[in-house]
Amino acid sequence: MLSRLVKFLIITRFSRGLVAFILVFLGYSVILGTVYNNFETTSNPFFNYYLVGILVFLTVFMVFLGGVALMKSDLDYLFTLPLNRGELVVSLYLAQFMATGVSFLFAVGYVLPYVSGGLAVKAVMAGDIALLALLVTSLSIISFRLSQKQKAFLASALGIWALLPIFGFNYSYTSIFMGNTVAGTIIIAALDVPFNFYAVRQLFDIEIGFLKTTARRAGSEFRRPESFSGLSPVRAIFAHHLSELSLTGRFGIGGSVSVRISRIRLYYLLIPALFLGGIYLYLALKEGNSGPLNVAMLLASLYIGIFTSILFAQEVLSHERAWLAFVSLPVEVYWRSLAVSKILQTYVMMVPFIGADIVLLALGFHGALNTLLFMGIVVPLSPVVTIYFGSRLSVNQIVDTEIMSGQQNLRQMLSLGPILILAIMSIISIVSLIGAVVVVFIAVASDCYLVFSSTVSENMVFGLTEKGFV
Amino acid sequence: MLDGGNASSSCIVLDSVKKAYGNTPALDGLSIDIPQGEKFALIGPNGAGKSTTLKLLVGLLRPDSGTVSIMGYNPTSIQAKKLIGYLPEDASPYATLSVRENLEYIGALRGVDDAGERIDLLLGELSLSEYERSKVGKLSRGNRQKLAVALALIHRPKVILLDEPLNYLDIPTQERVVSMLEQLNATVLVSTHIMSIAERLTDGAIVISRGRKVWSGSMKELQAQARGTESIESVVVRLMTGAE
Ligand SMILES: Nc1ncnc2c1ncn2[C@@H]1O[C@H](COP(=O)(O)OP(=O)(O)OP(=O)(O)O)[C@@H](O)[C@H]1O
Ligand SMILES: [Mg+2]
Repeated sequence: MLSRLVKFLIITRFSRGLVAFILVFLGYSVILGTVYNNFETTSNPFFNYYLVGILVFLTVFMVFLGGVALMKSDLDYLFTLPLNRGELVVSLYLAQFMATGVSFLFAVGYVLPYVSGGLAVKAVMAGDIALLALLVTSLSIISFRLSQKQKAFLASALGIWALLPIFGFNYSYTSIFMGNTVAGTIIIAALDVPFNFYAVRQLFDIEIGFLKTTARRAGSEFRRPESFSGLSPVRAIFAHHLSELSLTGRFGIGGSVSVRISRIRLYYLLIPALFLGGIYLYLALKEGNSGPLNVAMLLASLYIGIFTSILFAQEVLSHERAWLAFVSLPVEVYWRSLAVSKILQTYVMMVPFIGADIVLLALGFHGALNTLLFMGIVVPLSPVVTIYFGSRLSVNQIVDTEIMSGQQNLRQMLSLGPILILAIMSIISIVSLIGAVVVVFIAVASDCYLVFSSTVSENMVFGLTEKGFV
Repeated sequence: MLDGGNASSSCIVLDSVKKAYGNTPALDGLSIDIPQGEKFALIGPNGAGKSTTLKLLVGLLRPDSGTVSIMGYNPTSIQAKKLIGYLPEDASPYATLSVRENLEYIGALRGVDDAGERIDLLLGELSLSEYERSKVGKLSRGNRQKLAVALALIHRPKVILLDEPLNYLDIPTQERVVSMLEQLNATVLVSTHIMSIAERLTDGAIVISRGRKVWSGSMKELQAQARGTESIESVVVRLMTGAE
């Protein structure tokens, strides 16, 4: 019975293609992790910072935007069935793991080859990674019942703690990647127990919790009303997108997990951006002007590029309403204004990094100009491409909140393709200045084409409507 | 291109339109011609192509062949957009905005001069005033539908295309929406399954089935088709299924 329930929950939430992809990729990572041995670890900051970065990203993201992978039909049918509670909880947890924690499990393939020492050391590292994957899963479940304030507190506490080893305080759940395996392992285990205990308890009365949370927020209002009265159409679109960012719990291996909408003032997001910009500057200065390839710069470009691209692009169309937007204004006018406002929005978020790059440039850092070109031009232009790809490949329109809007599938992962392209572009930009200029040229050209061609916008709308987008 | 608003009084026009979703045919050579100022019901079984017809008329879809026009304008043109008020089936306004913000946003996009008063009026008429600050995602389904109706009418459209407008509405609101629509001086095409509403609201009916027109005429002609005490619903069933 349990295996059937697990299977049912997984196939209702993920397409078979995606499940196969996850399993194959996981198998590949495990093989990679066991076959390869004793790679160069000495002073490979890439290895350290990379993993710390991913963990910070995952924990903060899950706390803020997590949520249980529930579908409307679960509430209507599944939960009304006489099922064994224990089995239901196990199945829900596994489905949730597939949507969230599993993405960190992939790390085994890239971490274990660098671990020097015997089998025991490797086993501990593998166990730690698994525990971290469970931690990420539990955070995504807990997030469901937390208030915004609690989330902000938990996310900043975990985020800052994760970064401390970089500054020399090596007692954190990220310490296993920074050379302090013993303390790191203890801390991970100590975090896992309470968080997972709490998460599982919440799964036990999930539908009651769900109804409570929904009821608590029922009839709730946005804290700060926006006003669009008296604005011209284009100004209204700008006002809508430049004052606040609509965030939705949509994460996991490439789609939505649960849906919840909160609006965040754009300048609140500037605070973490400033903080990250500061860390970036610190690391770049600490790494010094060593070698042609400054690791801090590369990492920052990669992360910031990918993060902003996801954050600023993924949500846009899910919240769009074709019957209002594209019927009120000519399609190309609406799309153009929307795209430009997204570019500006992303640009604002990049200001701290652009500032840091200008400082590095003034100090004569090698590669500062490359990074400046990438972060100052390519990253802000990237959401347009991501949005466009998303519209052509797969968009889950978010209509009912608090509930998963559809099955996650491989097409959704394909729509993350531009992010991979962005990652490649960031590497090219850092390695060569000519490369950076070419990348800028490509980004500007593709944005101009997508933004100004009226065929593009019309096809986008026709395509969306044919996919059932309203 | 046809030039706008002249000569014939045709307002809502589809001419031998075909439209398929991939391999699923939805419309198979449908022709409709609704004169300016008239109100028509679009009737047909589930999957007949009613919603598809309306999406073509508002320019959200492009026909595979045939032509579509609104007062002689291409539905994707700005002139047509200014004329049209559209309510899709299962309409969902912006979930990221509150009730009032939705109305203000669309009011601004539509360039409604007296948006403030217009919004107050619509909120009052649809008894939504107490929810004006609510998140749309938290509204009950019926209140969401009321907001959608208000959004479709905010700019005093001249051509109104409604897809199941009374879905989810309580009886008093149904009555209010019907009387609002009756008073409008506009050309209306409304897709509905509720014949009593069609009889009250519209002058004529177009019956389609499997993407083709099977009958069209005035409401009176439709009623006249009844045999003995046959209900109008049975008449429609007969027309849809092509039974004698
Ligand atoms: N987005 C879509 N993708 C694929 N097929 C679609 C899509 N929308 C509609 N169809 C198909 O096109 C045909 C006509 O659908 P349409 O929604 O226009 O019917 P309808 O008359 O509005 O039906 P209902 O009374 O159920 O609302 C149906 O066969 C339907 O399955
Ligand atoms: Mg329909």
